[in-house]
Amino acid sequence: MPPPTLSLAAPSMSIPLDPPRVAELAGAYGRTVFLSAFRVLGDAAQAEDVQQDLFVQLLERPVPEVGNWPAFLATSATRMAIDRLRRQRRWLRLLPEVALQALGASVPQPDQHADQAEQAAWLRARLARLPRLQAQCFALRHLDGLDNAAIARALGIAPGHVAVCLHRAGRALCAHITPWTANEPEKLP
Amino acid sequence: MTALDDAALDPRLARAATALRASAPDAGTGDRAQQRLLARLAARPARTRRPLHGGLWALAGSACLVLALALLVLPGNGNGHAFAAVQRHLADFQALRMRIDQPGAGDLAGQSVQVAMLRSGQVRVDVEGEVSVVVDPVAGQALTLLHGTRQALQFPLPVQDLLGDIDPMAWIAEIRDYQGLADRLPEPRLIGGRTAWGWALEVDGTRVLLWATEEGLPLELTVDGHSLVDIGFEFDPPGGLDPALFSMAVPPGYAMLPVQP
Repeated sequence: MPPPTLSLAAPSMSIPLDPPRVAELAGAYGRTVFLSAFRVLGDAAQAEDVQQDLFVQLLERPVPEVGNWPAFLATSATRMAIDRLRRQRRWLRLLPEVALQALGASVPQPDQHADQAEQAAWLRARLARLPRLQAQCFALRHLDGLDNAAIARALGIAPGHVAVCLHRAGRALCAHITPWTANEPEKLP
Repeated sequence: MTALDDAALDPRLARAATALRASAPDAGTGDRAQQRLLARLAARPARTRRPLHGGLWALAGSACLVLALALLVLPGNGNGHAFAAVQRHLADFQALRMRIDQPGAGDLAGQSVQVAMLRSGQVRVDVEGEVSVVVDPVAGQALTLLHGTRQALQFPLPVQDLLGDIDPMAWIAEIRDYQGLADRLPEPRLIGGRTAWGWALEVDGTRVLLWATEEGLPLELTVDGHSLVDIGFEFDPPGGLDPALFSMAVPPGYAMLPVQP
C-alpha cells in the first residue's frame, strides 16, 4: 500500500515548506489535526502519531499550493487516520463474516440504547473493513462535511465515483448494523 | 466544505456518524499532544515512531496473491522438464511449511506469517502475535484465535472467504492446468546449503524469482518490487508437521465467542 499522501487536489505547483511555516501551521491547526485523527481512530496515542506524521511530511515533501489550510490539514488527517485504521485492523477484513458477526456480538450496536462511545466504536470497526476509497469517501463526507465535488478533488476521482462509493459504503455499513444481535428484533430472521 | 448532512443515511448509521464526530479525547490530551508536536518541530529530531503492528495481512495477502500468480505462470511445457518438476512439487506434497517475510525496513519488518498445510487439506495460518486460523475440512471445522484479546471463534465449514486473500490452498488447484513461460537464471545460489536454480517470472509487472533445486523442489520465492517479499518453502519436512498445529482445541486462557453461522 502506498504511503498516505498529502495531495488534496492535483497540484498545479509543488512548493516546499520551510520549518517556520510548518511550525506556524502546527501552532494554528495542530489541535484540529489531532482531533480529526482522534475521531477516526478513537485513540489519543495514534492520533498523535498521525498529527506528527502529517506535519513532518510537510517538512519532508513538496506539497501542492493550498488555498485553505485548515480544510487541507483536516482532510489529510482524516485520510491518514483511515489508512491507519485499516492497517491496524486489516486482519478483521480477512475473517469470514460469520466470525466477524461473532466478534460483533461483543461490540454494541448503534441502536438508540447504545451510548455514543459504543456507537463510535462500532462505526470505526466497520470503517476498517470497508474498501479504502469507500471508507475515505464516507469519512470525508460524514466526518469532515465535504460535498461530493470537494471529496472528488481531495481524492482525485470523479464526483460520480464519489457518489458510487458513498452509496456502497452506506449500503455496506447498513447491511451489518444488526444482523446478529437482538437490539433490532425486526431484523432477525 | 458543506454542512454535515446525514439525511441520506439510515437513522442508526446517522447516529453512529454523529457519535463518531462527537468523539473527543480526555481533557488536556490534545494540549499535551500539541506541545509535543511543537517541541518536535522546533527541535526537528530524526523521526521516531511507535512500532506498528497489524500490517501483516496485506503482506500475507499480497505475497500469497503473487505466489498464486507466479504459480499460475509456471510452465507445464515449453520451458522444459525441469520446470515441470517444480510444478509437480508444488502440486504434490504431503506437508508444507511456508514462511512469508518482508525483510526490508518498514512497518512490517520483524513480523512474519507462517503457513502449515497438509495434503488432507488441513491448513494453519499464523500471523505473529495477532491471529491464527486453523481449517480442518476433514472435521468440517474452522478455528480462529485472536491473540491480542485472547478470544476464540469456532465455526463449522463451509465458510465462504475463510482465509480471505491469504488462502494458501487456492494456488495449488490453479497451477495444475496452467501453461506459461519462465526463464531460468544462469547462475545458481545456495539456500540452506542446497544449490538452488532461479526461475524469473514477470507477474503483473513485477519480477518474481522462484528458486528450486535441480530436482525441482521449490525452496524460495522472492518478489522484487516496491515491497520486497520473501517466501520460504519447506516441503515434506523431516518428521512431518506437529498434529497439534491443526488441533481444533481452544488453548487455555482463550474465551470462546458464540458463533451463529
